[in-house]
Amino acid sequence: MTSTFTGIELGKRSIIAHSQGLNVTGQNMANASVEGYSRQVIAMKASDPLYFPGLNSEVTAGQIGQGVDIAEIRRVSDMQLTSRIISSTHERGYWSTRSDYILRAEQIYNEPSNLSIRKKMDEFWDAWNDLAAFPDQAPQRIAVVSAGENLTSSINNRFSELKNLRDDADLEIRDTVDQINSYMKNIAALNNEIIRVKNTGNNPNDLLDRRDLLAEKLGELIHITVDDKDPDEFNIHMGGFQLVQGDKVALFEKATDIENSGYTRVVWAKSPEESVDVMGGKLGSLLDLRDIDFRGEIQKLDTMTVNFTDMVNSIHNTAYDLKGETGRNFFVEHPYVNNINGNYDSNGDGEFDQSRIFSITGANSLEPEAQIGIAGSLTLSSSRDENIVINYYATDTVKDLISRINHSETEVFARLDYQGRLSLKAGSAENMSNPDFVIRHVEDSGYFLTTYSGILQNSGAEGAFDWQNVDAVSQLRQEDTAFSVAPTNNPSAWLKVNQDLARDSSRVAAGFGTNGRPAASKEGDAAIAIASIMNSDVALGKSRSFQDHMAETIASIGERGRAAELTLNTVSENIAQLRSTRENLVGVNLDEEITQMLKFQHGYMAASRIITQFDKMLDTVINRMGV
Amino acid sequence: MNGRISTNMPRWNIQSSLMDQGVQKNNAQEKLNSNTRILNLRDDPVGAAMAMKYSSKSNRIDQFVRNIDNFKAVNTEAESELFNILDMLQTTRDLAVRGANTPTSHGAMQEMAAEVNGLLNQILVAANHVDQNGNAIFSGNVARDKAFTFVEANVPGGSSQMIVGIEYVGDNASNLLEIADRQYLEYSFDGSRLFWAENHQIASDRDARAFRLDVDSSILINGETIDLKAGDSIYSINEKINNSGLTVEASIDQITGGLTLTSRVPQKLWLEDVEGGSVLSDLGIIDSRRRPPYNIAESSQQTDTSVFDSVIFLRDQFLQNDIEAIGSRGIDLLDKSINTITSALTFVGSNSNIANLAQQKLDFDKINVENEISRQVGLDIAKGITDLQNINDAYQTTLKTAGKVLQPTLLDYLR
Repeated sequence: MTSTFTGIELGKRSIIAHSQGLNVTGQNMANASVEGYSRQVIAMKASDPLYFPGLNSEVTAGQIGQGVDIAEIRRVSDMQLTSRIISSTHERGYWSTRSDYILRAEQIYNEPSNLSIRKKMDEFWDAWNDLAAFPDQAPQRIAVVSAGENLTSSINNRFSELKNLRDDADLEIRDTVDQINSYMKNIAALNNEIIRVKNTGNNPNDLLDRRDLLAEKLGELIHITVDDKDPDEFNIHMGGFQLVQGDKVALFEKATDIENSGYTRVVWAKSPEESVDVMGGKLGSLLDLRDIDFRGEIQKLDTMTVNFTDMVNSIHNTAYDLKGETGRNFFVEHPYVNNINGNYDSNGDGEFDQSRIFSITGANSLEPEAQIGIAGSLTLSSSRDENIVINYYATDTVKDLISRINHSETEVFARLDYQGRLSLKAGSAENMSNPDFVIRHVEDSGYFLTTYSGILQNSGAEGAFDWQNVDAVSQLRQEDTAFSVAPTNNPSAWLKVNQDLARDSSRVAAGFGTNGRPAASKEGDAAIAIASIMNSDVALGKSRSFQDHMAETIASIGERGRAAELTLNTVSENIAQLRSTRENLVGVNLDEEITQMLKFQHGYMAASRIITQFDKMLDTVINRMGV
Repeated sequence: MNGRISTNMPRWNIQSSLMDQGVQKNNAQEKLNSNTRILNLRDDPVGAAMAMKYSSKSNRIDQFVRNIDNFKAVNTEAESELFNILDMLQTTRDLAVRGANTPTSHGAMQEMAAEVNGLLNQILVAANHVDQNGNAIFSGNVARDKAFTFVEANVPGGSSQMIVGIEYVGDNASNLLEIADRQYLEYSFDGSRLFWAENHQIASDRDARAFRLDVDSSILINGETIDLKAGDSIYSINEKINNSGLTVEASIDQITGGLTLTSRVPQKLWLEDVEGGSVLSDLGIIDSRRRPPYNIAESSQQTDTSVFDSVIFLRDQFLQNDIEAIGSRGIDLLDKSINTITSALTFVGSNSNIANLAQQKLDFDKINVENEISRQVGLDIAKGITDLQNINDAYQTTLKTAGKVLQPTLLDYLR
């Protein structure tokens, strides 16, 4: 037999369940605009009925229900979808960062405009052209110096701006590493908290939301995947590495990379000698930007500067000024290897251990269209770790071989100078452990570099020029071969017009003179030779001329910017789709919640009415039966 | 198709759309304001690179035009002075023809001599014409106020000191100006070529038939280097000179065995050994202690007649009343001088034509290049305005849609 107050108990349970339902609805409505919030639903179930089958069960019709209980309050979520979002956001982090930074680089290039280096360089060539017309006139001389100063100032500024980009990226790398560590620590702490709550039999809905949100934010910074196959252990991986395992976390650390201009190297906190192989995300993007894109841009600028300087100086210091003096450079660079033979102490032990030579020019004038008539193979330092071999054949013309050298993977480039002499120049080094603009190895099994062009004394390995030898220039043909030492730092940062010329423009050398005699004052052949560098074949890396080099540089940065923006749009669209799908599943819909609110409100009222009816019924029995 | 839309979803979508459209609107406006379709390199990287190249080309065309203007200014002055000299030479020749063919008194011959002397002075003034910077235009690359200096002395038959010799104090180096890509025009005028009436011949009296070079060396003829090798005999040196493409011919005198160098056109030869060498010196052609062109060895014989020499010769014959010399050698030299100046005028005029043609082409190129720059970076205004209007329409539509989509919730209908 049921209790007298069974009905009241039943009503009470209903009131509790519905008021809890109202609480959940209130919670959903209150958090409707909270980032990462997943709506919660209350699951109700009928209370266990009276009676369960048994000897002591009352013989009565059917089972008597006892009202409603709350089964659980759970959040609505789709872990598979959330995992997909987390593992996709790294792309947005990568491309968004890349797009923003590349845009800054694009703005540095200032093209097409009248403020670019290209324009300043045009003005520099123009000034030399004007000087060629009036070599004895002071205004044209002053204009050449002034155009040179404007150009060097633009080059210095561009270097600073590009370096600032590297510096900014590095600063952000440091911040991002801190952020990553912070997220990972928080996730690990949440993992711990979640397990504790679960152990009490509750659903840690808000903590789970918080963890998903943090994982998503972490996913923007690095490419991670999450794994919660084990309900007691939430894991985060990057590539093959486990970053978070439950409450354990593998933190990153910041180290200084000496080989990379002292910038930050991301290492494992537990083993600082081991670099983290960062994949994707904002951090991956920043590292790529700093170490590939912007380092490459600075190398391009340096390549242009060092070649430009070398070519202008090589003409200028063989020409005569108005005072009849020669041997003066137009541009000066600091710092450069301060040894006449390019000997260099790389490890600072007080002993020379390397030869750092930027360019070597042979003694003989060559005809570009002439067939070499001899066969052999050149061994030159390359972008790969080992040297590469370039064969030449008797039927090759000088031009063919130069082209073959310049289109190989070598980091040594060849050209004929204004006197037709073969000039070998070092390019920038792909590998950070190699210095830029240093010829590392030159060897010829035949006679092209020896008797034909007059660079090396002897053929074969024993006659090779190698930078790891001190006094390596002794392998060159001593009397006639010219060489220049390498810069020890970024040439574009230090390039200046020789102050001797700035103080006295009559020091500008405009004519070559004749037979060792100083040039006549109206002789402008050297000025013409300098002005014609503009369109000359300069073998600037793979570029043919300075103009090509600049055009390729801006096209390249523009293309990268465009690719970054397009990819970002695509990636953002994909992620927006995923988020939209999740949002529509887990997001709060106020109409729905209000409907729920009405439902719970009416349920509450109905339960109250039941209690009231039982109250009235008991009132009749207790107070009105007149017992 | 989603069966359920969260309340915030439409708001976020609209917010995102409005932000995108705001950026697009701003870009479209900036493009219109700056009249360019490339705000950032990413808008059209290839177009930007092409525009950069065309901008450089445009700049270069401007420089070529400036070079041509500079060239024409000097060339016109030179042309004018050469015409002036030609007129004076013609007048001198008229006098010579009259003196040679009309019986004339001694007094009249003296007057004619004085007139020729006056013409000589005027020719010298014209040949020493200076440009706006005060530099003689016919002195090659030497910046000084005179291309020619003179020596005065008493002349037989003359009553006062007169010019008896003229020396060229310029040089023979040619200065070039670039007037189009890799196209150059000679910008300086070498007086030792423009004002020389006869081919220059130098004959050494030193027997060179047994000459053989001990070490590699080089010689310079008119500024051009001819490389010689150890073991070269005089005959192989001759061959190298004759095959050098220079306007000079080398030969061996059959009697003396000496080397003879003759210019193929009227000009003064500039001869020297390369620094440290002594080939021409050893062959008795030059005196290494002096500088070219006045370094011919005294032991050598040379014929070397300038335009001035031809007028001086004529004046002297008038003074000496030598009608025969006037009619033969005098007129012959004048004819050669006139030919020389006429050739110089042809050279100057031809260069002037080349410059004019180059300028016409540059004018044409400039239009094309500017069009190309405009095509690469210029904004099609109609398209720019239409684009802006389209974006604006989309923006307005989004705002209006927002009013509909972000409609009230059920809450608004509940009491």
